[in-house]
Amino acid sequence: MKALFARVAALPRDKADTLLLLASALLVLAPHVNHLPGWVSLLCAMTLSWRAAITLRGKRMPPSLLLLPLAAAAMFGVAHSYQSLLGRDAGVAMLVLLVAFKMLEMHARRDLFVVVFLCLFLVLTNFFYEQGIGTALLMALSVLALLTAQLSFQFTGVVPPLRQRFLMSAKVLGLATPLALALFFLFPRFDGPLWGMPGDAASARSGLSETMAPGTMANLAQSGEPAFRVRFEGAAPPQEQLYWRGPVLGAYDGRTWTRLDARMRRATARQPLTLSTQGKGVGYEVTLEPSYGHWLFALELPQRLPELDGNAATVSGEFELTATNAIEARLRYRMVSHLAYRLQASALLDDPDPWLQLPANLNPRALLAGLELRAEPDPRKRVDAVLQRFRRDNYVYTLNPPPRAQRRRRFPVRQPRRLLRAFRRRLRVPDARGRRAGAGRHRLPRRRAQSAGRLPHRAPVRRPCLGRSLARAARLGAHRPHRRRGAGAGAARPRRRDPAARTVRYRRFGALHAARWRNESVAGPAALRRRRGQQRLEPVDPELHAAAPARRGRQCAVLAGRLAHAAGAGHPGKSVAAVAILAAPPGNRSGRCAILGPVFAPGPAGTGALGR
Amino acid sequence: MAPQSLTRRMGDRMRPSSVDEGELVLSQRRIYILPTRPGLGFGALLLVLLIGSINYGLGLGYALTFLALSCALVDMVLTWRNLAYLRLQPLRGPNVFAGQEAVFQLQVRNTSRRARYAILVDVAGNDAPRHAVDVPAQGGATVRMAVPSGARGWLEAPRLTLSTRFPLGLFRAWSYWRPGTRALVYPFPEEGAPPLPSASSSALDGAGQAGEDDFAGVRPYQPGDPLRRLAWRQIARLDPVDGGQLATKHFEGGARTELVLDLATMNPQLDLELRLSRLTRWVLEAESRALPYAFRLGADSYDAAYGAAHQSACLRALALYGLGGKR
Repeated sequence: MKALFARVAALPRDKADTLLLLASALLVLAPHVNHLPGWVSLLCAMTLSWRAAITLRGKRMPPSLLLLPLAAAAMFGVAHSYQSLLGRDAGVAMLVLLVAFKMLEMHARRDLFVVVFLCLFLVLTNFFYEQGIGTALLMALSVLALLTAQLSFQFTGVVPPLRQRFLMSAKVLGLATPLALALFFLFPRFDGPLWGMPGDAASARSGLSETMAPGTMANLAQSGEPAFRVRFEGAAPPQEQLYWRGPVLGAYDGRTWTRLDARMRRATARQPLTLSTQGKGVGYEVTLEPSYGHWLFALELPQRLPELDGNAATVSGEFELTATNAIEARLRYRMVSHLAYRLQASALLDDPDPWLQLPANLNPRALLAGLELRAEPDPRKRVDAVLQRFRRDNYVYTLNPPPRAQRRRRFPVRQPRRLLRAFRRRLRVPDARGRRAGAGRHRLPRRRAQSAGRLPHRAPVRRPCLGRSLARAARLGAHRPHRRRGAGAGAARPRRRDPAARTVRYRRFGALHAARWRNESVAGPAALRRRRGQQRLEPVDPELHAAAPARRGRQCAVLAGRLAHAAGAGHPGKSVAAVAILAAPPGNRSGRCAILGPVFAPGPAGTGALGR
Repeated sequence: MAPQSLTRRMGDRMRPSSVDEGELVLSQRRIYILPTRPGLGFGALLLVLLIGSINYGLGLGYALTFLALSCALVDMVLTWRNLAYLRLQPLRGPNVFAGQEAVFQLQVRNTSRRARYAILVDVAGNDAPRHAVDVPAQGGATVRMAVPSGARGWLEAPRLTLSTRFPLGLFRAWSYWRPGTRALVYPFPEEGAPPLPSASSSALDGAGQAGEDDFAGVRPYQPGDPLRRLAWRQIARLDPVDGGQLATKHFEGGARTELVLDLATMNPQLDLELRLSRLTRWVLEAESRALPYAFRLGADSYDAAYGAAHQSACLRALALYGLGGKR
């Protein structure tokens, strides 16, 4: 060791300066070992020691022919480790390797400055990962070392000893500190980046928005920016009790979750709630970053509204806290929240309808599941059903949901044609070419076709797509015993039709286009067999048929939903379990809809007709 | 190159040769300072650091940026101070023969308590300064500036640039200095001049006769030398192929005629510069042989003497003959 020191001390001037530069580069690169992949650190260490060996032994530096493939290989390695060359972390790794390789390639005076500047930039990149006091001290030390190295190269004749050079650069730093402090405190800080960070179009940052449309974003990136900071007076509650309520998205239109609309919010705000809290509340102070929105955050359940200067806080019926003015500056407010509380513990909500809405263009299978849930009158059992569903099926929490188009195909798709035929057989509905199920050849009787409405002579006949609910509705509503496929033609089958079901034999299949149902989810026969032995379903009030507003070409389920709702409303205590599929024939001037499937309601309350 | 010479020419025209007589103190007004190329790169680095700190909200990033900025500003002041209040004084100018390099000696004194490092001195217009001095505190250093000389006469010291980048190399401070010294350039002594004339000679070709009693050595052969005077033995010693040359014995001593070196007695058909060169050579030769020689040149007339003072007076007269203002 002493021999090494003696050897270093006896080195000629330029070699000693190079070693000093190597040492300061090492000081700058050392903190990066924590977050760089192992091979990068190893490669840098090897490169720097190679350079030191060259300097000590006086050998020549390696030629570019050797360095270029090495550098290219390092680049490939970085691209492999980080899956791309762009981005913050990959860039830092590339910079580190660049500094290491540049040391091997220093030829001119200019290269010294390049190395020193790169090292300064690396000091900054270290701050992405940590910014503690230790890092600050290391930064000062690194700057001192870099300044000394830069200074050493400026001497021409007499070179003072190393200690004196350190003192010189310390003097420079010391003179620089007051001005740096002044600038540090006086320079304005900008909120947020000067321009957006690069990212692909499909990805979005998680943040607070008032809508959420699963499936429209392929990749949800997590933003590291703090939303707010909390300081608890006393011990912080355990993690599972820290629920911060922001916007409550209660309305779903089949595609996007949004907040309830104003009318419904007024309704929810008006309804009485029973609330009981236990124990003392938890006191805490929230420092909210400016978000230019209105949301205020508090733990469930806040005792009172936060007090803000110049800004009034309001609470909605869903216990969302909002400020009247947009939050453009950092806010701080003190809150007390009760973590142990019972909200609406025993009573039912007066008007649960806003929360039990079913959207129009929902997947029929999901729609039926929703209706089953809604059929459950006891809220506890409803919640249990949902939780059971979560437990039983494979639900995972992910920030990378498959895009919407793919998701629809996830549900098991059975052969539509087979089911269609089965359905037709049940319902005695002729298919696209007017054939009756079970008959040999089917023709659309032209005369009867024209009686139902105006359809051109040669209508483009497409195979209609019918949802699962149709088939099921047909089976259940028709109350026929289960038939095997391929059973004989019509006469042997008992035709028991529910008079109130109003199954209209619809001759006009062209009208089914108007339904615009997609055939993406159809139940298999197995699920339908489970329906055997279900309770007989009561008919709905026939007047509803006439009361249903007719729309031309409107999607069926909208009407169905409303109809069901109306049915449910007319029958308190019962909930409508299935829907009617309505179709408006094209060219229907009369404005009347025909019902393809039966509308039915379950029996007495408490029994889920389709209950699983 | 063209813009450089243009600026130089324009600068020279704008600044008529204002000689800084005596000692010059590099005051505040005389020092210019600008960033160097690495300094500009450092500025770009600072900008990048600042933008990175803003975009990613790094508090320590701001600290680093401002620290680096302050270091650059402090470096600017220190670079200026490295050059400021230096005292520059030229020493006496050298005397050289035409064609040789005149080495001016310039003294740089530092009266402050701070040592000055890496002061680069060179003739103004040279981009890569050749001389670097370190001036210790309360001390001085000497710079030797070699300037090639052309014609005979006075050679003014050229305008010098003193520059420094010392502490961190981010800024360059420089100043100009035109020292008030000049070098005296004598005419170049002629190679192969005819031998020294004697006072009584009036031969047209200028070859005179001094006393010829004693054999005084061998000199190179000149066409016209009598063949009896050639040093045959010496000639025979060395083959002309191997470098042997014809040589003539020459004799001196005895009649001690006074040696007078006079421009007027020389062949007026010769070029003036040639005559002056020949005279220079005769002066040097007479001096080397310790022959007293009288010297007459234009208005100067020196009695026969020899010695350094006589020689320098003669050479000076030769250097300044016909050049207008003396001194």
